[in-house]
Amino acid sequence: MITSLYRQNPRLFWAIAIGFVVLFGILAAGLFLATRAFAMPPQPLPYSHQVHIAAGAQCIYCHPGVDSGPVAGIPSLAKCMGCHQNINPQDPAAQADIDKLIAKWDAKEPVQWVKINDQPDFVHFNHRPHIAGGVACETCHGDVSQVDQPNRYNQNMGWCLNCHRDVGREHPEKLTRLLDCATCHY
Amino acid sequence: MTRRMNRRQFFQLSGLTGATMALSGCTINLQKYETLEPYVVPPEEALPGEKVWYASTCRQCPAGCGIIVRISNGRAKKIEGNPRHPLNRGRLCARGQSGLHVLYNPDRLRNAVTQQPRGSKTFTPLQWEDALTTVTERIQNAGPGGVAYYGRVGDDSLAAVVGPFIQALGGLAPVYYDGLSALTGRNLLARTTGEIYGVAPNLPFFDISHADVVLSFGANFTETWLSPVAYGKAFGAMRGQPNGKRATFVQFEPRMSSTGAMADKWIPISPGTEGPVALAIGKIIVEENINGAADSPYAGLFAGVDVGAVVLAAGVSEELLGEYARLFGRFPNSLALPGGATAGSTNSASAMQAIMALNALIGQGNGPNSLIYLTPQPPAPAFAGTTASSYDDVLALTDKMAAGDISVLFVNGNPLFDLPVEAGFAQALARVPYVVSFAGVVDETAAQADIILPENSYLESWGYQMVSPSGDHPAISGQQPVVQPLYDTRSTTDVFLDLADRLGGPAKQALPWPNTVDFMKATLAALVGAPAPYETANPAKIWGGWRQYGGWWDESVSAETPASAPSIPGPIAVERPVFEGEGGGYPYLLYPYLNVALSDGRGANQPWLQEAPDPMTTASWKTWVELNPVTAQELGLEHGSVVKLTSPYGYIDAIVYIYPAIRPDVVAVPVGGGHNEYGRFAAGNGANVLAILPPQASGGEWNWAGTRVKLEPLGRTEQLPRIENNIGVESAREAGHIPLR
Repeated sequence: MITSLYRQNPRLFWAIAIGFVVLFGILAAGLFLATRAFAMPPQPLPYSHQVHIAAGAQCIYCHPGVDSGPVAGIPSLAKCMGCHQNINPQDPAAQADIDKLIAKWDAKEPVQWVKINDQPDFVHFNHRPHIAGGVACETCHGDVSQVDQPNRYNQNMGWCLNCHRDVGREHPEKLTRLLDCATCHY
Repeated sequence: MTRRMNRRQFFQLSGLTGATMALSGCTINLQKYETLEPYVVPPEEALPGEKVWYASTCRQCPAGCGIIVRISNGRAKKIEGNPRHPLNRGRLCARGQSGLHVLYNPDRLRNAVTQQPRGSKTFTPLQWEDALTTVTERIQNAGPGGVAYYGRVGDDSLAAVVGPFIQALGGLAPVYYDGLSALTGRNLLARTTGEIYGVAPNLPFFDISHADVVLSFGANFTETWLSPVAYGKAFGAMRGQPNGKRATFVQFEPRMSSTGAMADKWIPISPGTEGPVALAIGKIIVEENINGAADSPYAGLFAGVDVGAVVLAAGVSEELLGEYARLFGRFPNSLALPGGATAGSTNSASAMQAIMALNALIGQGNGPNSLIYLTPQPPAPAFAGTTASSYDDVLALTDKMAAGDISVLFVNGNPLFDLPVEAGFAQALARVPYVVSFAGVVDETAAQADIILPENSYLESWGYQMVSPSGDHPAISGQQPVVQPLYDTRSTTDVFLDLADRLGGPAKQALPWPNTVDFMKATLAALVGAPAPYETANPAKIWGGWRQYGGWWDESVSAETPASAPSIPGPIAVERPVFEGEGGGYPYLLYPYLNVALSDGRGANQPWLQEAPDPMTTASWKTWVELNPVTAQELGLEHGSVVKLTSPYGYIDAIVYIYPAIRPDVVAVPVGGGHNEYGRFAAGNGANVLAILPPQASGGEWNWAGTRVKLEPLGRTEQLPRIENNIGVESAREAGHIPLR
């Protein structure tokens, strides 16, 4: 069929062929851009959530603002050093990573962590009521204990409302407030 | 030569350019990310969360100071003065700061309860619906005139609802009375001022900030008198006047208060001689014709005064009195302040007149240069302020109760603590078939109630307060909920509106609003077009500005000086104060004074206030009796001796504190301690001196300062918690008022 098309109408054949090539090119470029868009730039220090949770650290130990304010907070260097001045891993590679932290501490230079999840400025998200309402960290941030760096989720409005509707079904008296625009957009 | 581009080349080129731009644009966006920079070492006081400040009104005393409350994630964390409020301009006293303990008090009732039988403290929780139905039935069965209300002074929005409610039911006019208003002479001063200026009762403001000489007759204006924060601010201004002028300030009182300690001269006159001493000062000014005083129309008021006799009775030297009389007469910007102590003796009515006459003699209280301002009329009749009732009104209510005329009594104060035992309120209360209390924490009176409808704390409810005495400008303080109510409690205003709705008829006609917010909005609509710091073009703008600013005030208008000259009938007689127990083995005069923190005892359930040291003795938590060292030596008493203090009307036990700044013939006891109920911090701490005061009245006012006492050592000692011995909290903990660590 392809050969017959080529024989009967070489111009159409070439047009289709070039069209396919261009289409593939665009798809490849799109895929490439998409992976770049959801890939995070490297963090300034090689920090692993998995290692810390395996060692027994609770989420709220390093993110204590989570049950009292809008943001969970990133631990200060002083808090990191509270443990790390006493920790000597056997693995030299791990020690090399910790040395980078100690170098920052010695220089009293704050770490510029890269923000993973963010909400636009017209959304007033607050962690406190979610924690007070019994929502677990994993519900929105995934199982952080299995990864070095939490994945970036597509936390759009539909995703919020799915959960708000579910809670509203269980507690009808809260439904109006949970679905009110001004709950988050004010 | 120009080579023209054909159609195909144009598309190729533009496509390429577009793709490049898109790609490069994407690349730049992809590289953009936000970083978070945590502290290296966090500051000590860094707290997570967002802070919001709400403007409201303090309700710890009737002054009506503006407050702002810091709310962090829905919790009230700190109370400060509202910097914009014209009365207190950002200042706040210890009682105002302690308002958080009203909100978070662990002894607060969390729902409506019934108590059967009364006094058993067996409380049964009740749904609000059932509670209000029961109260409605009781009111319907009470018949005309069978409903009465007794409340504290200083909740104007509540009074604006209660007044019409009781009136619609044909009851006795509501009685507004408490220990604080009695011991600060609030009613007598308002009444006297109203009488001499021919206006309705009005609390004047004495502008000491521009004064040259201030003679204070027992006015402890930086502690509890009328509006302590406004006076504290004015006192600071008085001491820092232009060109280094700091005024001369003389305090006449038998026991040095902390206000007296700031005076240039403290003159310990005998209790009850405030009026006679004021008359003697006036007499000296007239006799010596200082600044032409002999020609003053008020000179005749002092005609019958014998200075020598007054000097003898008051126990002051004539030279000293003459010196300050001349100083007072020479400067036109002088002021005489009628303090609370003036109102507690048998000669209170003439004493109040005498001090106002002394002001009038030197031209104060009249004309544009007067430093005496009257509280302006409200901007709309809807905002009628309340005046404290007289003690006679309380006795009239007590008589009606005792006669069985009252079927339902609403109590929104603590008369069983504030009034002397001999006034018979407890016996009269027992004759009332149904007593409704609104106490947030079960106090002495609520313990004798049939049903308690606990009120919201003032940080959880709506209201307003006419600022009286006003500061520089006419003002209404606005109160709004700064947090969600913690428990299933209700605003008392809401309760009365709800009851009116259930009763229907005249009550519903008088109070047509379904809730307090609608009532507030309807009242505030009267401010449309009034000058204010915010727009008042329509009710919605007022509602917004009112809540943002914490009330309404008009800074374009200064407070008014009286329009007419005072008219004082005279001559004013020198009346010797009469004391109960004279010649009956009671050697000492009793001088009860308001504790700066606990005031009349309403602050006793707030541990910050219990722990706050008295400024003169540094004592806290307990009740002490102040004795001159000479008196203590005569009786063989030391610091910490426990004595039985007996008046003709009862006795209390108190711990001796030897205090040099008190007359040897006087013993002073702070008011506020000695609760039997009122929560874990108040109950069982100290003794209630109000209970042993005489129940008599003269001229409509309670003779609370009119008794003599005797002291008997009980042969034991008790350590008084003080800053120096550092046993404040520890002693409270041992006594079980606060839990052990």
